[in-house]
Amino acid sequence: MKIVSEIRGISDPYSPNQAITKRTINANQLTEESLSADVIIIGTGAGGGTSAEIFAQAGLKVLMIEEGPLKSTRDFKMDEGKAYADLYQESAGRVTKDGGIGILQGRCVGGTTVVNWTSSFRTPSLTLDYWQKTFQLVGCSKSDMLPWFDQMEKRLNILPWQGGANENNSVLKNGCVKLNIPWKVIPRNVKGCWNLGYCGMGCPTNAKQSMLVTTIPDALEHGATLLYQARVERLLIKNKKVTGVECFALDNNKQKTTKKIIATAPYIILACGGINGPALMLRSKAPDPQRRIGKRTFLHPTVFSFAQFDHEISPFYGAPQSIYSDHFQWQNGAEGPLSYKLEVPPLHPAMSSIMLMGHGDNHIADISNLNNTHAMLALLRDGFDEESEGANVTLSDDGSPIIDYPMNDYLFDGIKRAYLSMAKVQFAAGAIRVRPAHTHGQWFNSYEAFKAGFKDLEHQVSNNLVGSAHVMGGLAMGENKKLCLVDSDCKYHYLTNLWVFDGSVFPTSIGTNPQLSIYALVCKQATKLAKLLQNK
Amino acid sequence: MLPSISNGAFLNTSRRDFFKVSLLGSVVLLVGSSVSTLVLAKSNHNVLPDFNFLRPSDAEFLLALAPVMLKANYPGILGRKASQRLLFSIDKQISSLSVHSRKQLRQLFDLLTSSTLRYFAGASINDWSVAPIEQIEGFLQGWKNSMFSLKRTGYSALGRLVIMSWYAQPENNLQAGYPGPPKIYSPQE
Repeated sequence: MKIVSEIRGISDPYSPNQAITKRTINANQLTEESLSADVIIIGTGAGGGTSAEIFAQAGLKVLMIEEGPLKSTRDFKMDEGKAYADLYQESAGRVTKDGGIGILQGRCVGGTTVVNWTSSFRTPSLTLDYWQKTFQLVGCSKSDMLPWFDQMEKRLNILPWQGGANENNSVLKNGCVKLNIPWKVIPRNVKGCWNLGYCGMGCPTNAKQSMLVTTIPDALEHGATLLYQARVERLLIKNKKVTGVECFALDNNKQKTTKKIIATAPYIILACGGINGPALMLRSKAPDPQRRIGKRTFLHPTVFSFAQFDHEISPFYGAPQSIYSDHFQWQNGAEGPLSYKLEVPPLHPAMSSIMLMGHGDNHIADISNLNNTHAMLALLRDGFDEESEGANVTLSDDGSPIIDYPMNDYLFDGIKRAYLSMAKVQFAAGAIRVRPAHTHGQWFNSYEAFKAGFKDLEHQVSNNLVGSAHVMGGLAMGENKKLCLVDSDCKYHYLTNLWVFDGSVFPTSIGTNPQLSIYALVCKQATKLAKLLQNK
Repeated sequence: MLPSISNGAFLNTSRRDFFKVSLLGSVVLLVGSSVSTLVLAKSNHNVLPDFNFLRPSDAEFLLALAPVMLKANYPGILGRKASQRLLFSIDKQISSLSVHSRKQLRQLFDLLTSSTLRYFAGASINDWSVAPIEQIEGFLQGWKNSMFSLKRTGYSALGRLVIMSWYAQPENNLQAGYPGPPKIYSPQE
């Protein structure tokens, strides 16, 4: 793989001389105290961006409200510290209540699409079937969804990656080949990708087809307004109707200021993602007779395994994710013991230093060898068993969300099997030694030694490195009102003018990286709603 | 001596009470208690000049941890600038957290920088700035291997602050064998 040493000639779609920046407003600089529109969209990630473009193209006056800052091409310096503080919830340090699971979630114009690793998969049909059966979701079968996947794949240039796997991803491929396990190339939403490896810090070449460079600029060109650094504190609700939203400007440290803005519109779209969406509904005391808001929030809990090689892996360079294996993901259909998808994470020094766990001399030895280190991840498919209820989102005293994800035996059983699978693939690919990302995890020189030594590890909260980059659920969709809060069109069951267009409507986890699932579902729902509103 | 401690059962440390005391430490760590509130009232509230969150006692504590956690990599080529850079980076990381998260970290720092609370948390170090390395290592190992998940989580939180902030400094890239990102040349706008 050729390593690029410099980047020249990339322009910024939001540079001050662009026409679209006229309707792009920092809430701190807004002179008015109130705003109005036909449709308010709260959040600008995969759901908010996709729906903004559709509504604006339908001729509706759209107001997008985003709590994060507007950071774009010229701000993306491939600098971990800066990127985590600027672009992620809680400086990339959001954690569940007991600290057991770390959550990477975006907080900026474009949301998580600005910082994800571009993997774009269709919703697996087993997942769609399960939703139909368990949550009585209608109109979202595999064949119903096909045209919407096609449309969004075209819109965001989603294609299986043609640039070849970097060494880090090649380990997964080589291991699978050796073990005769099926593997595939990951489809990515990129156009003219430079194969740099910095997707998680904001794409410096505009290649990643995130909402920031696609649907949001398009919506702005069609007359939409973008208000950023504005946190929606609550929805104003009267007689089963959302009459407006109350926002506060956030300063450059993301702290609430006293500047209050009231925005009103006849139609409100909630698109601020799992965790934050349910928290907003709780703060707004939205009607919820079955007390389901924030319940069944899923994270794809993800565990990691490190492997050292006798050659350079350079895990910081190249498309971060290009190979996957679903061999362990659907062995029992949708249900049964917790199962997992195998992929690879990129390794940059700051994030790797935490993933390697521990401190002192062993830690130094590990991190100094990063260039020869590969990591694999297993993404666990939560929410398909009665033992897998996910997290419950509640509010802290300042109104911020608390994510209570109890880690139980069902989860640890999946975690243990995942470590063994990953080690097996890594040794098959020629790893010299393998170490599970566990506080007490040692390096093992063979799979046999790994299996024997692994038995002694105690698996419990904060011993295992468990991360999540996928937040799903908390406002489940379906006609089963005992479990669901929005109907099959994603309209809130108990309010007349509120729709939820984001990943929080997924009634379980997806079983694969969720961005394309959000794009396609929202494209379908927003297109239907836009037609309805145009005719009013 | 603080009233709620001195007239309580905590100082008569029978085995059973000692167990309670360790639990208290953990509870103070993340949940907060009247004890931490009382000690807080006595502690120095002044944030360091040019910082948003860290107080002098927090800085002293973090700088005591740094050489133990980072060993030979600290101070590295940053030399005399290392401590200031590390503290600024940690402070920046904390500044953009939610009010709730900052409150939890405040409790963690107050617990570990107040000798009274530290005693109850089972970290019997009198003064971080002069504590021998073995004692600091003992404290870290104690939290890392604790039977209480709150202490293990506290250990990860300290690692996240110190170690992650350290390797986020571009000057330290090479300590991780990382040559750094490509150079960017912006077009004239």
